[in-house]
Amino acid sequence: MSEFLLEPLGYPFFVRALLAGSLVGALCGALSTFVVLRRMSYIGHGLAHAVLGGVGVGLAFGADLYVGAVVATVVAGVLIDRVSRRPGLHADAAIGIVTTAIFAAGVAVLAVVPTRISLEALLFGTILGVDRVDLAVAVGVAVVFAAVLLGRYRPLVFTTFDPEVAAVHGVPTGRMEALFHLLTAAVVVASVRVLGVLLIAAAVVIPAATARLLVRSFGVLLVAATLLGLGTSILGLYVSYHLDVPSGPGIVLVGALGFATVFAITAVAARLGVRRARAVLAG
Amino acid sequence: MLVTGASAGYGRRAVLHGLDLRIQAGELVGLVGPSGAGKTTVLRLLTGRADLLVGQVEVLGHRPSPRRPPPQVGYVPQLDQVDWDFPLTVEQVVLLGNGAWGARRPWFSRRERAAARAVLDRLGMAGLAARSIRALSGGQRQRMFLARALLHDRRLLLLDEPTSGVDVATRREVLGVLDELRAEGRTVVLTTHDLNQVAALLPRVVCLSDTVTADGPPAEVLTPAVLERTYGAPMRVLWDGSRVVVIDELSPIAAVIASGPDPAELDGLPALDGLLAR
Repeated sequence: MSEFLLEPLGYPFFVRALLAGSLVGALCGALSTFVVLRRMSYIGHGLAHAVLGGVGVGLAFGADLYVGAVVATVVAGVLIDRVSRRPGLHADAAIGIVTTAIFAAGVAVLAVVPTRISLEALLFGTILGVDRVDLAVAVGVAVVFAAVLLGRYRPLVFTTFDPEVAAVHGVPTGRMEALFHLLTAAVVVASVRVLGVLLIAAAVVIPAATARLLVRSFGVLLVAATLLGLGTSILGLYVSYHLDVPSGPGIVLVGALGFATVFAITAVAARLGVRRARAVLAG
Repeated sequence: MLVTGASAGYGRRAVLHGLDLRIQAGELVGLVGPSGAGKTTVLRLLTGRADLLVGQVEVLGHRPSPRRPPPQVGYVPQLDQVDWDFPLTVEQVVLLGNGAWGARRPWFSRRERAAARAVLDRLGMAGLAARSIRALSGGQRQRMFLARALLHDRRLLLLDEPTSGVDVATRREVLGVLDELRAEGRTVVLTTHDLNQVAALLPRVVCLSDTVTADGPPAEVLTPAVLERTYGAPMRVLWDGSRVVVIDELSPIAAVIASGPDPAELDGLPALDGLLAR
């Protein structure tokens, strides 16, 4: 067991990936609380696709990976906001149109222009490619995310629970919505290297979905989802190293297995509870 | 609260036309009308969440807008607008109404929690403070939202269908609390579909059908002519000694009345009970 845990730590690339992956896992876990409660699991999926498009177009112009990713998420966020404000069009339609269009542009560019970045690594993540810049981006996003969450916790919760009444009671709900989308975009950008664009959507849903089966309070849910995201990410990176699979699938499979386990245990516990109640009533 | 010549709605679509409404501090007013008449839009207009196309709106000395809702306004939404699986307790929901958005800490102070408990206690909900909102009955949910609206000592309370989906005892309780709030000098405006059990018991009723069709005490406003103009359907109105009773012309009770004695001869509830018994 100790060899399973300690052996990879002898490699600097794995230590960097573990640090970045832990931060990204915790960030995705915390974000998943809001994503699940807002029923917006498609936003992570959409923004991740837009990131790939931005990265592809950015690389074609010789820009850094993160420059393309940030520009793509900002452009996608603004366009989604504009399109979804038109009566008759909802956010899901806007996300479907805008992000897939940017994704398509990126794939087309990557198919034509030769780049130094592997498309597979972008799609599924890689622990080999995590460098100091990736780590710095993860640390920066984690610090900003934590500061915003602590400072704007109450209005964010009120806006998530009941946006109409929150607005009447003086909460700047428009700004809170923008803040949520900005945080989502930042987490998606920071997660690209470790998780890969195709698997970010799962990482911003599974932790809170699992925790929700176990806890009933918002604050506890937020902490539990963050810890689950962190633990899942660490275990997934070890799985990725030992089984030689991309890091994204490793992390997501561990998370999905955790969800399936908790789902099964809570289902059995609920049935046993009903059986016990029937036995008590039967005397 | 003053609304003058207001046409309002959402985007370019106007729901209300030429609305004039003046509500003084300390009034308890009910907005009635058919579905789509604009009752909820009036509440939204007063909080700056409906688009004002023409006219003027002034609430507590402020002109409401989406970015600047008037201060000191508490809002109670319809129950079906909320996700009742949301992981919050009753006390946490009430605390969201305290308005301290500038607070840098996520947790609530002992003083804030004591204030929430005091409001819950007043509404008979103190024992339910730690209960998950998904485990509440319809009446308890209404009282919880009322507690949230009251927490910051707000002067104007706007309630969207506060008595829908609650039992008879809770409905009376809610109306009793609203009357107490009015007696304290707060202004209360509510919407309702219930003409007999709610509107007829209020001191002032405003009938809406895209605009104000009538405004005044129930005895003056709830007449067959006004109701037909408002709802577009004939209705019969009986006088139950101290208050009016509205009956749909197509209801079985109306048929019984039509085959029985002249409604004008009916005097009080016993007579109505007699008709129902037949």
